[in-house]
Amino acid sequence: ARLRDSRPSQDARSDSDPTMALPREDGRSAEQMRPIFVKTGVISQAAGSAYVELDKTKVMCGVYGPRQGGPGTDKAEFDRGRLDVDVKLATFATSGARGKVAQGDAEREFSSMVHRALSGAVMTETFPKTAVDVFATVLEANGSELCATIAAASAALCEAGVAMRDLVSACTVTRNRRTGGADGAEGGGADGGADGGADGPNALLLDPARGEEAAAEAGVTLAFMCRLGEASQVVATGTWDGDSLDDAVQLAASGCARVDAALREALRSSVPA
Amino acid sequence: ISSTWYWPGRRATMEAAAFKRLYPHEYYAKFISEGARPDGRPLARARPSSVAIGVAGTAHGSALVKVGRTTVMAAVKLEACQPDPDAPDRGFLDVVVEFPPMCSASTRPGRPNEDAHFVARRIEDALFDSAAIDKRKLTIKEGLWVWKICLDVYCLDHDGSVLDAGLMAALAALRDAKVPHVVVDDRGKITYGGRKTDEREPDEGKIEVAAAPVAVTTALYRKHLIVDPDAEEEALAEATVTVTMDAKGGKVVGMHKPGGTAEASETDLMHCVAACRLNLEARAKAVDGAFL
Repeated sequence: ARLRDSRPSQDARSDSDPTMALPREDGRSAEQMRPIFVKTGVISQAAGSAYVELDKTKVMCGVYGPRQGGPGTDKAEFDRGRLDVDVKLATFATSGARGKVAQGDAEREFSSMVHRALSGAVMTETFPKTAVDVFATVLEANGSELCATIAAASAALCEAGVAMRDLVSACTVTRNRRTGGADGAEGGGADGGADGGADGPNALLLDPARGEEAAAEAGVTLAFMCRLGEASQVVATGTWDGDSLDDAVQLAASGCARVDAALREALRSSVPA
Repeated sequence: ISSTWYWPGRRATMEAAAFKRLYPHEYYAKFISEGARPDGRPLARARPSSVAIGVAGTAHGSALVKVGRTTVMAAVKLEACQPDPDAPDRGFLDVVVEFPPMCSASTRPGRPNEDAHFVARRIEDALFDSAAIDKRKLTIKEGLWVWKICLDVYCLDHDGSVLDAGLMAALAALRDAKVPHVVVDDRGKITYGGRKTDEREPDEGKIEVAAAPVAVTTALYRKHLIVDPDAEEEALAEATVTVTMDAKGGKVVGMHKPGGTAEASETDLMHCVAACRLNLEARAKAVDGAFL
């Protein structure tokens, strides 16, 4: 899918319209991302590695390969390589009780979402009969872990020298009910869809933190290749009407542009002069 | 850097990297015979270490330790639970060590790492044998509630001697941990919170860590003793010996030689203890340094 505007959006819209500005828990505006930190070359044993922080969400990723694949590689196509993704959530990553070491379905689902986001970009025909392994660990989960993981994986793949069509960045936008509104305010999924209107009780939040994700009515995660202007994956949950979904995807694309810039900056500074 | 290497008996020459790949033992032996190692260290020198605390916001205590390129992260979470009826005044310490697949080329998802269990038990032994942790100090209300310390040690980058780094990380995380304030009412019900954090006295709500055990691993390779081996050296080693000593008091609290193809003589073991003593202060200081 080709998206119209992938440049970072101006925050002017939210500044001029006071009903748009929603004070979020950490003081951000609705269209503001958290500070992004990217560092590559963090795992000495890996071919490529990266560490990404979206404020308190922390993910570390290591890429190995091309190398002999795990079980099942012989069944793969002879002219293409395999991209294997495995993401683990550390047992201390979430506040509250300690998580289980083997978390099963949630981790598998997460891994396959990261895999789908990257598959559009990785040129598997450049490493036939071998596999490239992308292993990530979420060290602290405070919202938008999927986006941080995809960003870390892109940077690590790039550092490992795996041929890619473009870097993949990802961003999530959630639709949350505005706080401080009247109790029993109407407008759930069916009624309140559009975000632009001053009367709408809902707001689109870019790069949600954990609390915002939990309280969201609906969300969309976009994995986007900024230079190519193509989306590799769009996952929408909850109910949306056409216009608000379009607005949400545009907002996510602007967030992706920022992530992309941060990734490129980190990769550029890691190349020896 | 490319240099050509001559393999005795052959006229062909080859690049160092290829030689290392094809004949790892001959490559390594060339360094050892000169009393040095591929990374430039003398045989008896351990790598420098660094410790940072408070790295995981979601845990009660955490630490990140680097020994050379080996990177280990430890996190402590405290849970209140019922004690064992046979030991109503003792809490629990549960140590779990994880080698996520990203940490080295040989770890794969789905296959539990054999070393993980070994490292976890050695860390546990070190903490109890040195009396660093006393389970009786973990009581909240005898017979009803005790603390369970969940200590998770994650190896983020495996470049050898994970046990050494893991123990340092575990210690630092335990010392960093802030014990949540709990109140037990007359009926035995427990509630968290109550007192504001700024009303706490400085040492209140901390786990008492009464000792500072430090582990130093030495590899045995063709009658040489290699202190603090990295991942490549560990792969070539015939055996490893890990000596644990308490920095407060200088006593040996543990020594382990998990099998291996070479035997260690008494002199070898004494040398390993000496290697531990030599590096004891530096490592203990690295942990203390994080709390300054």
